[in-house]
Amino acid sequence: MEYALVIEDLSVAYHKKPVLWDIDLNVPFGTIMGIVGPNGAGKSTLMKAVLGVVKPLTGRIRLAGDTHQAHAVAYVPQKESVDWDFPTTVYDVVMMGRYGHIGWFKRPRKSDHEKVEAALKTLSMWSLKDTQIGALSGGQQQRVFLARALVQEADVYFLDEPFQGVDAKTERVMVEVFKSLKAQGKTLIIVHHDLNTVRQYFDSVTLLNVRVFASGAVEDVFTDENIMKTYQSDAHQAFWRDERV
Amino acid sequence: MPIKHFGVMSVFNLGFTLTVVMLGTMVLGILGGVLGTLLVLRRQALMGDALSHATLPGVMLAFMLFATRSLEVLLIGAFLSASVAYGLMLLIKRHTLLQWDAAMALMLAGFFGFGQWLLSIIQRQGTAAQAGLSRFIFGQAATMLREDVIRLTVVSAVMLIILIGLLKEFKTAVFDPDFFSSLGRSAPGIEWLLRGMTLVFIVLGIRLVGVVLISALLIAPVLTAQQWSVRFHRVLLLSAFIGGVSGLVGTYLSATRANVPTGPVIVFVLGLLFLISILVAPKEGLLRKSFEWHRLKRTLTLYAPLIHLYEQPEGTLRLEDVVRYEVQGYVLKDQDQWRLTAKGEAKVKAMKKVILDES
Repeated sequence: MEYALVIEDLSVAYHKKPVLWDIDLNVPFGTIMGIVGPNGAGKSTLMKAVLGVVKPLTGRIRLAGDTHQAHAVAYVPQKESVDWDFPTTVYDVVMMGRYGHIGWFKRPRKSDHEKVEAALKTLSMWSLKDTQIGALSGGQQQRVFLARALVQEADVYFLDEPFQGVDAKTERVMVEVFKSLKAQGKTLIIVHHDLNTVRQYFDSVTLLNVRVFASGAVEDVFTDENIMKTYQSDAHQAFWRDERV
Repeated sequence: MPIKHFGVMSVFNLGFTLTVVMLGTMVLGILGGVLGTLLVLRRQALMGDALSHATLPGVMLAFMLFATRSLEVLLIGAFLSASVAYGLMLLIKRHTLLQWDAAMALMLAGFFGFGQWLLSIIQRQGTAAQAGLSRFIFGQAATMLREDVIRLTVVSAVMLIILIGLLKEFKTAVFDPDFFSSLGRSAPGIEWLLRGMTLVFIVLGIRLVGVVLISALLIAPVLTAQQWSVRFHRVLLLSAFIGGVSGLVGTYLSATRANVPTGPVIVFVLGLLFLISILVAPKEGLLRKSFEWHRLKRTLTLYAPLIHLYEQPEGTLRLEDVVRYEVQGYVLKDQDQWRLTAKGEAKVKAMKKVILDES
């Protein structure tokens, strides 16, 4: 079976505290995988390690057929990670998604502008293209980030809590976009915190709390027993943390 | 080179050296505007201030050790001293609970104080050569050697070209460093480049503008520009323009008015532009905001009774309001009770819409 993402023996630590421990994970092509776990479980860190934003302690990461090409992945960070007062417009933020394709010292071409326009129209944001990003609602801000990911034209999409603080309508629009990406054979890996919608949104799920408790098809692994084990493993977490401090 | 090649400049009869110094300060100002935009948006506005104050002991030590007034030697001292301060800031940040702002404030005060102490020692010895050293505090552009100015102009121009060439990378890394890293590019690399260029900018500028005020050239232009636009490229262009104009005008005024130090004059020009902008800028300006507030207040005072009548149809109206509204056709008398006409209702609805949208 061909995998979009293979992780072997991955460990990540901040200041000597392990936040991820001995992670093994395979994500097949064409799935929508949710990554679920309690606060501080290392969900965002796992994503950042895969994308090269944080440096792992140990382990191997293979993305989309063993070649980590920068433009093979798209990333939607948590909304809170950027300064929304930054003097820039919706259009310019979405254009950043093309920068991986454009190259150093070069300017966007006509085709880049067309792709930005198409993505903004898909997410019903075209009329707001010249708006300063701080004037947007939470849902609109998340749509801007999603549009930026769309124009990256990646094979694998990483989204960190994309439903955080968005309105119901935006959530529906986003789920539609995810389904159409999956229909195009893309892989989506989504950090998620709402256990109620896991069965509805994802076809596979990884239960994470410092280490992987279960991973696979939702109907197989998203069981009450596995969820309990993942969310009640404070003792396990504390064990590793205390020993390392 | 004959003066006439400088066209407009020679009209004012400034002389070759002053023309060169003014162009040099202008290029430095433009660089400060561009670099400062990135620094301020990265929430590192104080970095320039801390680094510039930290150059002072380096200048003094270089003078004491090598007994020279050669600008290169003194500036190498400045560079090393600010680098040490920066290294200490990193150490403090990494190994203590102090945050960046505290680390910067500590280094700023400590290094600047040390530098002043060294300066007073040098001055007490009273060597003839020490005359120029106090010029590093507030800057004295007009007394610089022509070769030194040309050299710093060339270095500034090179940095400006790098910044503009990599503008979309800088912008992305400053706005969203994690996203920039996910593109397979190095956000820490861009951060280092930015700080390195800030350090070089400061070292180049201290003799012109002075260690105390050089950071104003990083901070003030972008703050002024942000009053006028929310688009990155416009803010950047305007900031560069403001930096350049301040450098040019400030140096001219300082050189032609009995050798006033350059730094304070540049800061005066920057401050004036900022003040004007914060007052009259079209959207964010205080005058515009105050005008809109008063207009809203007037509308509310004039039409509040009408709105009340709309909300409570059995209510009463005072005589002076009745007269006005009847003439305007908003109310009609219907068996001892004033009632809104269709026109009056439309007026209330329109006002509610405007007021709700505005507030």
